[in-house]
Amino acid sequence: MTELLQGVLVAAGIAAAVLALAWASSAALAVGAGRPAATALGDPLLEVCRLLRQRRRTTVSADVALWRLGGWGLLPVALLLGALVPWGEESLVPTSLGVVWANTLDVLVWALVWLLGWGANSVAGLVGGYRFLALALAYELPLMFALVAPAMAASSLDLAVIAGSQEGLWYAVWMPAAFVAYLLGVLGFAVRGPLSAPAGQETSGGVLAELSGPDLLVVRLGRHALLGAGAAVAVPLFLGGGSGPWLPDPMWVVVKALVLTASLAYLAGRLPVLRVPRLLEIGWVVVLPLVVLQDLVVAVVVVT
Amino acid sequence: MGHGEMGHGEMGHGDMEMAPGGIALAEGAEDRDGLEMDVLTHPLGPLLDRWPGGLELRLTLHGDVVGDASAQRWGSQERHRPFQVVAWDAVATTLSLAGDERGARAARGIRAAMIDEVEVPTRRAAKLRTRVARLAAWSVVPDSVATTLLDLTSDADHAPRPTVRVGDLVRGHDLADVRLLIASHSPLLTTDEHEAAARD
Repeated sequence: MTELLQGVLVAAGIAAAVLALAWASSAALAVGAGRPAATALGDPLLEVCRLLRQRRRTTVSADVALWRLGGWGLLPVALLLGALVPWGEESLVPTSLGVVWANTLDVLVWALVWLLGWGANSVAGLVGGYRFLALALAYELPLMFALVAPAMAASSLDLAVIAGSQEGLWYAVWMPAAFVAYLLGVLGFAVRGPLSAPAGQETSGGVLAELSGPDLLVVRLGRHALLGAGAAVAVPLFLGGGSGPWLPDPMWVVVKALVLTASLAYLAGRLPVLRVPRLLEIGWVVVLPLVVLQDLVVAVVVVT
Repeated sequence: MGHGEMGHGEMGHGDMEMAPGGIALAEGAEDRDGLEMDVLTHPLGPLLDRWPGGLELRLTLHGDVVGDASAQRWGSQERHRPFQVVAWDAVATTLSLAGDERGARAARGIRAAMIDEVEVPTRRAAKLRTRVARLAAWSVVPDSVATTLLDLTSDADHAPRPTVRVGDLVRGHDLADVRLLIASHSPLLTTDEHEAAARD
């Protein structure tokens, strides 16, 4: 009984942490785009109130079931990513394959965002959905190879083991290419910043074009939560997990995740949207070879 | 299962499927680039965020490429803004569409200074022009968008710039580029009707 209670408490704590990260992402993004910090912090609350009261708009012959599935699925994916992170000694979900699960979850976002574009039965949505698939091609492969690097260095797919094996030197420091490619992937599955073309203003919001009310709210929340959760997964992968002086381990994970989320979102707010063909070029011609080279370096270091 | 039953079940099925939800199914058009696609009619405007007010555009889309476009203007277009104000408005709108909110804000600041007839911050204007050029270099916006914006905001004296017909501007472009093109060319745009009226 006490074990169950403990599990529920931990789950609630993780949900709260992911929501806090989503808030940080939203505020930092707005500050990056030039909004004053005080307003940026309050905006999420006002938006929640506004969208909860907004009436739903529907389109003709919308594929409602798949549309809602796409929209409401993003937040659960972010929460599951949060459950994979070893906040203390271990993660909420007992698994020795954390890296693989994290990868699986981020691939799930492909389907969700595409369904979001498909479900509305509108031109803008469908164009946005297809743009996301093209964009996913650009970021996913570098992201997968980036996940290989820390796993190889720690000889484990367990996020807790990977976090524990970075005594003294964070993987982010000696695997910068993998770290950057991973963060690019996080921006990709959160559809933010330079990789937000599928939801771009120039296609009237793309996959978001026909969303309204609570449906829009969960999608926005889900995207921010994905950015936050992606950053939280980077903490055990690249930033030494909970290691650090003075504070207890879970606090360090939270602090690192918050700082990384805020920096990433701030940068996303500052940068313009890159067009999809350009992204493919950057992803495959620049980032992918760099990451593969990074993997090679890591492999050589591990063997010798 | 009887023969008659089967025939009955199939009846009317075809008609229903031709227009699900009252919207006719998309049909193919003449092959444009070796890849035949369904053709959709997609309206933009006349009321749209970051869009020249009153401009209505009906696009015929092949996939996400504009096959054809017709435009018309609603309401009067009588506005007596100095050309430079309209030009900086175009810069602000384009930057905002491209996701560069900081640049858009700065451009709006310059526009406001022009309307208030206070001293225009020339250094900020120059910096913003470099920013626009850099966006094109990174292909955040198409080249023609950046060159038009730079031309519109240049201080050099110009012969009156030629107007651009909306349809000609967007035909053959990606749907995503349409709004960037319209926003950047907005001070120069003319719809087909206007051109016809001017000729009369």
